[in-house]
Amino acid sequence: MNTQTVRGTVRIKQVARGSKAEQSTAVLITPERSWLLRRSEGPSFGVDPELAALDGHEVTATGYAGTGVFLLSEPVTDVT
Amino acid sequence: MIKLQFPGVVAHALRTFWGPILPSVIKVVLTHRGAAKAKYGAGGWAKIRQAVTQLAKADKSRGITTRFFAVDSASDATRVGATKIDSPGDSAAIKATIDHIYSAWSPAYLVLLGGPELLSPVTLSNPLWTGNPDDDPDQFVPSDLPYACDAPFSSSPADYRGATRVVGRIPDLIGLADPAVLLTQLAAATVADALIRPHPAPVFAVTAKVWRGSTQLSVGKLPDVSGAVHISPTEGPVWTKSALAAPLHFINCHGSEFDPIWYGQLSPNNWDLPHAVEAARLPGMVAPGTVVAAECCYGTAHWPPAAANGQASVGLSYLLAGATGVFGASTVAYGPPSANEYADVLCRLFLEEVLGGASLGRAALSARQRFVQGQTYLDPTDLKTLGQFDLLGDPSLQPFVANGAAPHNAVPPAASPRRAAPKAGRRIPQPTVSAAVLARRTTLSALGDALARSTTASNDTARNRSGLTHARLADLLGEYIPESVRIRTFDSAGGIDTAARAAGAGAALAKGLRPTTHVAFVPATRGRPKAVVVVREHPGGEPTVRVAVPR
Repeated sequence: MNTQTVRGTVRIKQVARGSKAEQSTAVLITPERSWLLRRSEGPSFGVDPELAALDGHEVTATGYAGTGVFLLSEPVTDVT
Repeated sequence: MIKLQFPGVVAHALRTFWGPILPSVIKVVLTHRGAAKAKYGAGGWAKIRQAVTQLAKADKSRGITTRFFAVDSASDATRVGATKIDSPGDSAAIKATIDHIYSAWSPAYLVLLGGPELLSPVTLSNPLWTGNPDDDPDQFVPSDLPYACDAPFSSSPADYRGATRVVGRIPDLIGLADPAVLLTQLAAATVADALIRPHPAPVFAVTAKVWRGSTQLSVGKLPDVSGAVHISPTEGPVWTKSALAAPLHFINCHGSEFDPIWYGQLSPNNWDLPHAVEAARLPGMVAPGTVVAAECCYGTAHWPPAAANGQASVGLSYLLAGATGVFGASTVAYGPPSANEYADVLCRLFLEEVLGGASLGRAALSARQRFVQGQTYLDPTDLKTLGQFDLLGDPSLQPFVANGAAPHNAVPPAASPRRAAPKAGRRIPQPTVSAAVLARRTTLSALGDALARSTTASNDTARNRSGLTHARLADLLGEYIPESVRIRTFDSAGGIDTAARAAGAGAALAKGLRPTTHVAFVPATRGRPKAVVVVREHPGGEPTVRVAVPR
């Protein structure tokens, strides 16, 4: 499994909206499919503020495309 | 049920005098030699091949005839009437070759040697995939289950409801060309011993605090075991060697893809998760022969250590630290917070079989069969669960010898045939197998065939329109369901259709008997994280509701 570069849109899904535990999950949507988006130095669960800041942005992302997670190996390039 | 069991002395005599006419207990070790040579180089491959030879020698002393099979070898393919395979990623061709091997040799054990770079798992569809990764993130489910089934190749998990074969994988690490990964595991399998089952058998169990009710229920159902369930937080991730020395590990924690840590959780919507088990802490701490059942999401997923600063996953790290086998999930797994369903059930059944004296591979097969048998039909979450759990490890190894007595099929040393049985808790050489193995395979194969024919399962894809309203789901669940929640309805097939045909009835009757499943991913509430709700409806009956959360 090599790293790959894809272009897509980051969307932030709000979970537990309105509760004390409100949090965001970053999703990367490409024309082919969607993944949960993670940074290698970011948390595996819960809010990653750096990704949350990209809501709605089109990005170029390089990393490992797993079964359910796209793990960034480099910072994303914002192409919006 | 016919159950053949020969006392050790009789088995020894049978082999000595009638060996040539007794069928062999065959183990096939399968890999893509070209891919292995390309990955490890000629020198590295030579070492691995030599290690397989050493394992075959050890197997011979255990009564097993081990055959190496290169799927990319024309001559090997010819031996079973198959066609050689070019790509190690061609899972349809790998499945076809394995089917030919079973037709020709009926092996009692099948070892897949290497990870996806040497032999790809089959990419199954995931009936829970909605297109939104915030529901279930796995578009596909990598699985070795199809290799354990007689059914022809397909990508539908429902087609593999009747497992018949004993299969395990000795994995390597993606992107890491160090042959030591395979050599370590092959050497461990070569010298592996068995434990005369202690009474009770110690279990090292760890649970996320939010699931302690479910985990305690699972461990409580294991027969004759001891050990408290460790709760994270506050326990872990630093464990003593004596705690980890328990021969069985049962882990019900969070896991994530590309992450070498399994996590606890304090409360349902607190996502500041504490570390419960860290892969980096396992070397030197795990007792040889340890068996692990892990409900954690991605517990046995194959991913490159390069994605985690060089650290392999927890599941793979267990094997490299000396564990004999790890039974875990390739993707997101499910179970309820307090009760037992899905991953809870399959993992517990696996450990029950291991404790009962089954080989690792037979434990995995029997667990799959019992999991299917235990359901009135297989809903979409059942199907994902069935497809996602695989065994990593040599399937022929028998971790426990049951009942604290000498193994029923062991060959006693010639000089002391009447030596007293070893005591419980002692380690002994791997028991020598006998014709009883072949008798069991016949029974398990027949059972798997029957399950394939008689079990009803949900379709892979949902109807175009939901068959359940939001108001009705809210009634059933007892909480408000936002209109934004998508409710998907799955029809089912198989099993009932067979029964209807057998009764001389037509498709109309079968249709009237088929269960229906409604699946919805619902948002978190104050007392529960987001969850998958599964409503199971049998015609004429009251619907039942299952609420499960990702492990």
